[in-house]
Amino acid sequence: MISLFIEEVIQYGFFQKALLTGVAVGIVCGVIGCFIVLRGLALMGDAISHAILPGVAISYMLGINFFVGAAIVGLLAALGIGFINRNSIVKNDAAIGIVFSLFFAVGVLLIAKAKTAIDLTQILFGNVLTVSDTDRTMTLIIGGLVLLLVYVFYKELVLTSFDPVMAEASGMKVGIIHYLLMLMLTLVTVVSLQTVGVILVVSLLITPASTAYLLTHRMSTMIFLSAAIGAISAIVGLFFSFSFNLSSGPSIVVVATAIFILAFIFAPRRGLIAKYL
Amino acid sequence: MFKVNDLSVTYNNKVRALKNANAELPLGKIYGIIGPNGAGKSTFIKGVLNLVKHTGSVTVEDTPIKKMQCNISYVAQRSDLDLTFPISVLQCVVLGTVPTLGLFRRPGKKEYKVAEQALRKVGMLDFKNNQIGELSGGQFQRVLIARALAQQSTLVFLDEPFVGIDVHSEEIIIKVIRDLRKEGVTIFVIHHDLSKVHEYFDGLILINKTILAFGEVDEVFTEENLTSAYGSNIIVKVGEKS
Repeated sequence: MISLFIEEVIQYGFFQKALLTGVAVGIVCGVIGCFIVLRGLALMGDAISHAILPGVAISYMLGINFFVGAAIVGLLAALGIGFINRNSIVKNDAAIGIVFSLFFAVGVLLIAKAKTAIDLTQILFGNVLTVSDTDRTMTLIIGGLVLLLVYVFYKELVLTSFDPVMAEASGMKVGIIHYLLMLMLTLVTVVSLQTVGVILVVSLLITPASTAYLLTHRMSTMIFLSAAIGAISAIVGLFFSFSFNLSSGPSIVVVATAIFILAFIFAPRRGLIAKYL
Repeated sequence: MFKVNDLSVTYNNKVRALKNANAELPLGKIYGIIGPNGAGKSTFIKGVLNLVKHTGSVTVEDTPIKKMQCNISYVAQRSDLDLTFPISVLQCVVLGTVPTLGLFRRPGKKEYKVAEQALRKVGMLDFKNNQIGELSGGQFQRVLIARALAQQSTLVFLDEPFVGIDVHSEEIIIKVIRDLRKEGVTIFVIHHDLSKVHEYFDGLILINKTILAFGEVDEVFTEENLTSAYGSNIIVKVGEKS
């Protein structure tokens, strides 16, 4: 079966495209996911991914690439959440819930009203087999850009994740770093849209990162591990997706979670077994 | 001179945690910040460091503190940090060099050397490859002090550094702080154990919702001042301890 899979990948262009896109998404999600997990922003990841829906709809209506609309709307949502946080006593998770539900609702309404050719199910759950050449190229470019940003701002990201108060006291622009991360999160969500869909992006963000978190206590190792787990989840998930004619997004998510469960039980020192031995 | 002019901090637009605090203190000394629980000691530091919304101003040699903030080390109370964070002791201390490094530079050989020296000073070099969660409270506090050293700042603010740590760690931290003073660094320490005040500090800032008194220890640590900050019971306690 595996040789058949490899044969098909070699034979059919769209398989290669899907695989390349899936692996790129797995890697980028894995990297950004580390910072999301360490900062306790899992809910924020979920929120931003849902919130980009109206951006996608508006982009289709205007006939522009959906990356642009989604990125703008995602950032707006992050800013909106921050604004509510700073200017009222509403708790952070409630602010996140209020904003992303609204954005998601508006997105659903827009898609229904506009009668565009967008298939809602495809946006919600992804379908990596329909990835076009342009989308694949965009995914690679944006993924590369996000990785470059992480590389350039690595020390700032680590310090503000670990000890934001000390960073701010020493004059660092903690707020700007936060919104930079939100921008990257939005971009990553957008590129993941076709592979896993908006509903399940959060899984690719937090599951490989959490798995890596259980396996190491070095930041750099965690990032590489997380990226590798993301990529492997994509490959194995797509293999099942092709072989058994399953949706790509959910398949990838199930594989990523299976790896997490293995780490959860067997991880040296931090696993379930190590804990009770 | 370290000058505080009319510093006020108001939380949630209602509760005034600190009102019209004023002080003027020479640099290069170790100052204790004392006052009863909930008096606004941490709030005072956060106001000074622009970590909370405030009115009034703080200047160091007539420069607004905001313009020299990369020269400031701040060690908050330990409990605020995530001890499971995937970072080693050495990497944690290297982070102290980040605020002054500039945008596109990464910590290199020089920064790691500075960090190792700082770790040696606090007696934690043997632990440099440990994950931070593997340390005792006192050991971790020493690592945070090492991180502050690695910053090579001219102003250091410590919030309750001696709470819940062992005597050995406390002695080391006091020694490190005194060495810093020799280099001309000004150190502010929030402290609640009044019995050590004479031993540890050159000067005091006495706080209860505002700065009640500031200056040399003997000037501030008077029966009259302490009564106004703590109420009349405190004098008995001070007498018993010293």
